[in-house]
Amino acid sequence: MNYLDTVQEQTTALRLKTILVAVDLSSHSERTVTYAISIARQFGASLKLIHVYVPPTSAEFGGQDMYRLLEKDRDDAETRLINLAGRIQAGYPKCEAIFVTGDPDEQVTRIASLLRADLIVVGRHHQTFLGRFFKLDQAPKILHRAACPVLVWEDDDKGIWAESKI
Amino acid sequence: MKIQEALTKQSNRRGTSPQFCKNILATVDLSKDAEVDLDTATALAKHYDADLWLLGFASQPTVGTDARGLCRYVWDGSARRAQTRLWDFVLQARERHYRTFPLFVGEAYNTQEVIRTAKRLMADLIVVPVTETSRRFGSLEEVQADELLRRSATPVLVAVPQGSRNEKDKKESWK
Repeated sequence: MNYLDTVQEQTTALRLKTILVAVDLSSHSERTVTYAISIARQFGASLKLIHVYVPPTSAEFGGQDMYRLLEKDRDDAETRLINLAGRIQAGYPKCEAIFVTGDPDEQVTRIASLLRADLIVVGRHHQTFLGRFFKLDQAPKILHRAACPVLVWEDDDKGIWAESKI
Repeated sequence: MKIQEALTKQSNRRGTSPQFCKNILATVDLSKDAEVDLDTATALAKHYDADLWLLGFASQPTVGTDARGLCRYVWDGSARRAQTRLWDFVLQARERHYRTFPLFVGEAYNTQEVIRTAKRLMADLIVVPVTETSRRFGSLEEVQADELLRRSATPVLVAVPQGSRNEKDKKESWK
């Protein structure tokens, strides 16, 4: 390989070292993560699963019982995330779980910045009219804030990334 | 476990068929002042050894129709210039990844056209290059970006070039 080839190789090589996968712990999450792993394997990247817990707004006016319930709910979510990460680590060891509380798009982009993530992978599955109307889908919000490339994929059985293709 | 089965399948296939992207579609704004960044698209196409299709959009200049047909002359001239620009980008990209092909749309950015073309090509990925300096969603309006993300069955990669990425990182860390 001559000098020019080496320079060209350096300029065109795509480096993905850290991939941040935003999961909402729904039934779609596993497929999103599987898809992200297929990319991570290609580039030898490490995978960070992030789940942002959003406390319900009604909690602001609740009493002590409400806080106890919320804490339980939060712990449940954290446990589910750790379990998911554990299942993935069995097949892909370079995987970690990150659990944070707050606004999903803000937290995902903040963590992406902190980790210097090279890619954020987000699944999209709020396809109902109401979902669109109330902008429940986080993907566009993350996209508008993120400093790194964002990969949004159809998180749907009918999508081209159905199980069989993986 | 479903996910473990999928991961086992993936790891078994590793090395035998590592490719999952065969067609990559990248949108290109061909208007005069647009900054075009095709680094991510070409790097991805090179990595996956995929065909890279550059879908160029160019809006027609606003000129009033007149009886002498001068407006047609202006439109044709503008379309020709846009096509030349598209070929320039294709040739630039071909220096890095040879299998790059042009697709020209003689109108302004249209989400439906992107989705339709992606379907027709059976694209595995749509790469939308976006730059901070070109008003981030100047070429790709916010509404259009959302529409593309909502409607496309093909995964969409919104590529941010390294320069604006660093600037955004600084802003984010400042917060």
